[in-house]
Amino acid sequence: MKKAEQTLIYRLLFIALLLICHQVLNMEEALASTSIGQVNSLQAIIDQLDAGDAIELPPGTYAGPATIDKMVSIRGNSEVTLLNPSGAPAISILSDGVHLANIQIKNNASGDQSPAILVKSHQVTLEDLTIQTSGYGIILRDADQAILQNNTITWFKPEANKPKQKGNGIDLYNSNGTLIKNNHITGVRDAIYLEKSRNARIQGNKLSRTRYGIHCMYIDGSSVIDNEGQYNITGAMVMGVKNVVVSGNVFRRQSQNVHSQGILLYDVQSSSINKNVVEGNRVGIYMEQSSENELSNNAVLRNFIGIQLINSNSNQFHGNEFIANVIEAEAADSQKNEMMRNYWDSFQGLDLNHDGTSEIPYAINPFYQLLVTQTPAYQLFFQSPGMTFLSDMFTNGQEDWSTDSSPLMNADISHTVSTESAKGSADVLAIGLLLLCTAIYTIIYLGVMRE
Amino acid sequence: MNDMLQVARREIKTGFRNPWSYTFLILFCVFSLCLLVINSQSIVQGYSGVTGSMLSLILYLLPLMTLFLGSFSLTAEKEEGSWQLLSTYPIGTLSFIVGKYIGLSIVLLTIVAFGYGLMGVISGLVGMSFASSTYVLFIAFSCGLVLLFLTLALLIGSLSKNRWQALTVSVSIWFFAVIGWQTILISVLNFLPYTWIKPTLVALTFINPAELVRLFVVIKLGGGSILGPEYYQWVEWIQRSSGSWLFIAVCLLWISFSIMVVYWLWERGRSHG
Amino acid sequence: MKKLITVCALFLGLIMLAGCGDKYEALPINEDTDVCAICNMQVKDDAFATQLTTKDGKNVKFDDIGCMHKWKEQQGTENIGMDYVRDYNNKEWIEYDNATYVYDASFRTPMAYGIITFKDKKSAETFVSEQGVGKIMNAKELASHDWKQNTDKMQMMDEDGHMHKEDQKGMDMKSEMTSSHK
Repeated sequence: MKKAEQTLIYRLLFIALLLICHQVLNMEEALASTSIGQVNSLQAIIDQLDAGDAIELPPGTYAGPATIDKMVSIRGNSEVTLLNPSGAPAISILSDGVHLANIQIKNNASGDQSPAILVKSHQVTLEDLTIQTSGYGIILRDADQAILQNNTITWFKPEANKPKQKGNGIDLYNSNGTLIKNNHITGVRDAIYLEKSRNARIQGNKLSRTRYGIHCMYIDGSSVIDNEGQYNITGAMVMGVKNVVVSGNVFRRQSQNVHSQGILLYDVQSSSINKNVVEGNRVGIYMEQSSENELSNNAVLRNFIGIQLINSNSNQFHGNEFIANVIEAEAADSQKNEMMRNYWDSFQGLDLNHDGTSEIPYAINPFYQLLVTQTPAYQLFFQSPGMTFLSDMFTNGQEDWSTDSSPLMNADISHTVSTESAKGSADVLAIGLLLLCTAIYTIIYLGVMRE
Repeated sequence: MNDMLQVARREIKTGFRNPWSYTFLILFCVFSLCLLVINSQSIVQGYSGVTGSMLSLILYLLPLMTLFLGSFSLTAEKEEGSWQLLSTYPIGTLSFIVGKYIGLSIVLLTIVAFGYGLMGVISGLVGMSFASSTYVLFIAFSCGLVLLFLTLALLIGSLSKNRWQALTVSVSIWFFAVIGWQTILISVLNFLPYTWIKPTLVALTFINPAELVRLFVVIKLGGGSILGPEYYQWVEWIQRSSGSWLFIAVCLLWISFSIMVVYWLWERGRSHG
Repeated sequence: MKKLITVCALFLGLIMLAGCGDKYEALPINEDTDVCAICNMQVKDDAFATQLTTKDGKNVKFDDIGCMHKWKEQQGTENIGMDYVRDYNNKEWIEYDNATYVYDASFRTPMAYGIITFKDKKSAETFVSEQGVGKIMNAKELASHDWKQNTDKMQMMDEDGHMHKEDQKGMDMKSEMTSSHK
């Protein structure tokens, strides 16, 4: 009797299980069919709008490509997704004053360079967009006064492709007065690329694992402020510009590539580079063929080379701090700079009149730089004891070296305290204890004690 | 085998009764504590000014210590006549040399272990931020230096007649390998055509244990990119775990080759009476 | 010591043997490690890349022919063994002296020098007729080129820039397309 009851229960349970499975499968099918069925054409929606309209898209999945050729405002929410498997841009904006917000765009045409959004008109606002792309993110062409903020742009297939097949996150050409603010960009070629675009403001963006975090070419009068970058090949690549402000940026851990830098300045004139933090990069700040710039209050920490100056003259350096870099500074053909009141941690100064600066100047030895420019193979000797020895012996033409006339005796503590924290003190203690005990044991039992 | 262990035991015993060993032990401890004090404000992690200067200081001290202790041990055998005594027994020259090498390396590694142990314990107690991977890498770096330079020390000890000669040769080898190396190489290589410089430099680096070990550690600390595009492939390779095995293999090759040379020298001396 | 010398001698012998190959050769571009010797930008493996080999065998790469020109200005041309540019259509390496050059301020190149290279005059002419703009030059005529970087739109179009801007846009999308298909 009992046995029969048990089997009955088991059977019932089994049937229930089957039913549940069936139900779940059915539901999934239903879901799949509705999601396929509900893919709306975004273009059809846009076509129904009049200029000046503002709509909020209902949650769901939409299909691109779409072209916006009238002044409209389209807003989604976190559940609005636009798919674009086509080769054309997911959204092309051809009309001035278009406002686009809060849409997820998946631009995944394979092997294509097309952007998720292409803008060819003025005063366009793009905000809170989440873009996954296998080409470009946002391209602006001849589009002035755009506002791009709080967008997230990521590469569609992480680590799958090498940078040469990737597009840029935000790519500007001939587009003036753009505001690029608080965007997060990872994995693309250049996170923010600007060419021939004046008076741009690039602020508070977070950029990682790209080729160049911010790549500026010919963008006079722009400002690059408070951005953060890490694990890029180069954090900020500033080239061919005048009157630019690079301030308050933080670039860390750009050290993987043989040409990595925190900030690179090439052909930069009359610009201000201040209050940046470059930490743990291959080269903190690299400067070539640049003049009339002011570099002040930058914190250059724990880089392989702190600052590298090539053929740069008439610049002003003051209040910068160079701490725990393997080599603090390299300079070649850059003697006519005004360097004052910087802090160089490896330099032992002498302050006789107690004004906080050393009376002994700090001169940058150009020997290694000259040597490896001539024969790059000698980079193998980087900071080996013998190389330091040889550099110290090289004092030819010392009066022509780049020299800080009054180096600071003490660093500003607020800058020195790094946000980095090394873990593993407990491990070190344990390993240390183990080693110490082993050593003492060996000495006593194998050495001192007699058999 | 048994002979070898006997020789090694004897070597360890004399090693730890040798006042020189303790002098170096104290020197090394003082030195590692000084490093700690200097870096107490900074983070010891990855390749930076802190670890860079630690590398240089260790490169100065450890090879010199190894060369002295190693070469003196061999010349002592000659000077005190114990080798003459031993060679009348049926003990193999190879057992003798390898035993010596093992014994001496245990003595030296104990000194290194003591110094690093002290450093680790104190930094742990003080609460310094010392990344454990960097710490372990530094220990490996020091052990590598000791083991490679010990073979050079045995070579010097075999070729020198007495302690003073060994001292002079040790200092010159140390200077050549650690300080003069770059100066000499740059001046010589500048006579070569441009395209030969890099391959020659790479080949010569394998000959100098100080450079070999230093470069390995710089790359493992994550500083490989500073060596530039010329060595890009090497760096990528060594950064992987297979790179460590390659490094260990090169070290073993180095050690066995030099021990064979030392063996050959002593065997010749033995047969010549 | 003797061994050391033997090893060295052996090695030098090997390098000598290895060194006796072709004297000058265009090296492939490695995008991971090659940067322009002048402007420090990554050299992309595209048709704008150029390179030269000095007489002592040092190879230098550039991302734009304008940068190579700048290098020549700085270092002189006496010591150059061979210099190469690339055909725009198939990225084949061609000797500088044998190439045909097309310039227009509206052409987009990495450092905005606006010069595109072709392996023969015919393909250059085809390109110019497709684009509707472009001045064709050979290497000799290129020597007297002014090498102006097209960085400043004010320079080229004054007040009424719109016509020109349209051209540019067409061109730049086109060049992007062509490079993406290769």
